[in-house]
Amino acid sequence: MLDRIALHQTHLGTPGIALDARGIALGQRGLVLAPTFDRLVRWLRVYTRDRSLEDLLPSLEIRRVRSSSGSQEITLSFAAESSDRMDHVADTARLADACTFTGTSRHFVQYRDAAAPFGYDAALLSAADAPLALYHSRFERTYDEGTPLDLRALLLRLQPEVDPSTRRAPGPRLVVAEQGLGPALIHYLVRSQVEGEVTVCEWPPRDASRPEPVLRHVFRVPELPARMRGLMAGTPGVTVFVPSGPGVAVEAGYRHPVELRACPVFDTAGLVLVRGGGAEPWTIPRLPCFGDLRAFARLQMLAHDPGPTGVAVASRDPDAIRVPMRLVPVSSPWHHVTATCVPVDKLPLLRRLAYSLAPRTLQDTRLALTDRGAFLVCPHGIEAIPLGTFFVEAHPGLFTPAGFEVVPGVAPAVLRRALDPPHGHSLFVDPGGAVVAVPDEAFVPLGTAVLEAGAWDAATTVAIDSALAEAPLRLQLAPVGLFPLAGTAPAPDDPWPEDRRGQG
Amino acid sequence: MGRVDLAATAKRLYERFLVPLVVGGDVAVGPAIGARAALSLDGGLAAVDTDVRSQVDVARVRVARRLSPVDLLEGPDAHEWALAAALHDLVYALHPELGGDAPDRLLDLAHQVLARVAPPASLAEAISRHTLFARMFELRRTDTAVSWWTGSRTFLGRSPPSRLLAWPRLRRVQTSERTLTLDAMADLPQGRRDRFVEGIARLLEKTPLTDLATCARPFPAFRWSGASLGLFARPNGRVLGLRALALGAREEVDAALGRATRPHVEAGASDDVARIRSVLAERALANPR
Repeated sequence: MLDRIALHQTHLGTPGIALDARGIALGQRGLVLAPTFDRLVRWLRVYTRDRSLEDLLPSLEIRRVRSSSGSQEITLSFAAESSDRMDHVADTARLADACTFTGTSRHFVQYRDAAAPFGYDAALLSAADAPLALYHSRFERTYDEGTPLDLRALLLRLQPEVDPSTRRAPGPRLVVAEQGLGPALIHYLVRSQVEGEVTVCEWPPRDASRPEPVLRHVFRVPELPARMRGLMAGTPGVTVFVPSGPGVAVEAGYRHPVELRACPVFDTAGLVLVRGGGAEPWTIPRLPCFGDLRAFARLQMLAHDPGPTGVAVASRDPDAIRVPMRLVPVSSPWHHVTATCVPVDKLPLLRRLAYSLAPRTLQDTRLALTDRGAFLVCPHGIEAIPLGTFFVEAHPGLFTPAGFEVVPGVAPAVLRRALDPPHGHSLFVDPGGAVVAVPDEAFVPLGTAVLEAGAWDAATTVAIDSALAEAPLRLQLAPVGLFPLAGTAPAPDDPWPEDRRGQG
Repeated sequence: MGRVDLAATAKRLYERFLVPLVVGGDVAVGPAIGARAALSLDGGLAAVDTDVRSQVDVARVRVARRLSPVDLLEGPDAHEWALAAALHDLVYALHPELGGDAPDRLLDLAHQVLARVAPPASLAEAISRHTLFARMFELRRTDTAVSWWTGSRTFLGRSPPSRLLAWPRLRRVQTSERTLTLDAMADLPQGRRDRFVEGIARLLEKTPLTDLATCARPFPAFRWSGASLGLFARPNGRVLGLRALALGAREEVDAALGRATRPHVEAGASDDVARIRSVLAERALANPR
């Protein structure tokens, strides 16, 4: 007999049941009672559709129990944690035609429903010494301890359902090939430039007459081309699996009734391959190491040893082909003009230009004053100083004139190495072919070079008053009027109340 | 005597006298309060602006934390109201326009009040009183003399009207200001001045921490009172007292303490001298040169 719990009710008769913060009766554990396996699987299917069993698994316990009336039923118990979790479990159980209970050890009462928003309390507890007593608004039964059921074993006993759409779905695939087909499949995949990995797994012998283990090649293909999916599915001895969760894959063309991705019961170090058509699953307790497919490609060897022929011998006379460097004008647009050389006679112009230069140009441009003129370098471009001969930095420390290219067209690094400048010098190749080396230490910021600062006068600082300074006290007097002491009176004769306090 | 509106008097005393005495600014005195009203004031803060009370609380805590790490001080109690009223009347007695025997009567009323107020019963009360009266010797009166082409006039403790300062070049207006300390303000006949100084001294006996913190003052000269020696009799009071003494300039404080100790030595008051000597020894140890 169940009583509905009323609002603000504080006393509950069922041991192990208490009211949570929302006032809902809740024990430490929740329990789902399924009369048959079908309903338990239905509950698992619905529950795992949009949430994982990971939270429930540490405390999950499935048992096949026998009731006092002799019927066999399935219980699924778990830590209740909160009424939010229990609400979802109860909704799912209602959909799967199962019942939900809450309790702590032996006595479980029906979890709340629309008729009792705060849950139920058992008015009269069962006196039987059974390990489990369930109190429902429609029945009240006791159950024996029952036998535990392993969720992983239960999942593997469920036969996958036919679902051809999984064959066409993109994504990674696991391909298992019988021993004889493995090398051919490796060659086929390598030749088709399909990336993947392969390993060889062993299974126990099929029968006692053949003691050697069964070997199969297991391929892991990140993306199996669509053109191959039909071939793989239709080739006897080759089975394609679709990864369905950590440590488990289901044969392509089938779908497991329960969302395996929401059931983290499979060891990630191994692999379980669930096969369709009533075949038993293939279990690999520990996955061996995989190797890249290309490592197993067939090798082609030359028919004969090439020998020492065809090896050139170094010449000792390179001068025979050396030519002088030349500069030729080109009509292509200028790019990356980062330096200029202002001749000595144009330096007054540069001084006048200094007043109109942007702060960033003054800050970033570096200048070296030499007897050949002023060399200015700005890594962002020297266009702001339209004076002199422009240079392009062909290589770090090597500047060639803009609008010219060096012939023969050797690499700039080769050209700098051929010019062999002293360490710490930048080379400027002028249009006439002459090369000027400027020491890097001669470059100073342009702003420093052009500014001639004037004399300065020292300013006297003014001390700031302390924020904690206190305002002075200024006595303000008002006219006293005609009767300045009006309203004043001497102290009363009776003792002041405060005097009495002091005397007390 | 007509009935006095005690709430209005308390509000006036708090806002125009006590608040600027603590926070700073213009301290206004008058009309006189009298002894009966002074001993009846207790409260009147309900009508005071909370911002003003908050400013006063902050300023009082600032003063208190120079001596002790306190964060909260209660509002004025009946003793503090009476002391504030007594100080008000003492200062009001210096009003230059008071004629006849009005200053003497005012001083008598203030003495009646001071005679009723007990010394602080606890260190918390001592700190609380000190936070109210710590700045009493900073009180200044500015006298402004204004002369113009046809005459001159002196304004004591009040600003000259703007009409007298108008057209300064044309009217050849000249102003000169003179700032007077409380000592200089007490420019009274000798007997009346002694009565005023005695009133201030008796007020300081009621707030011993203020007495110690301002012991280097020019007037009234510091003297060891029962309240100040009683403060040093308690361990925590001794710490507070030494901290209060440390607020003044060292040489001037030492000189004032020496002057105050001399009469006890000359009178042969061995108990007092022993107590004073222990204070001075501890002060010397706590503040080595």
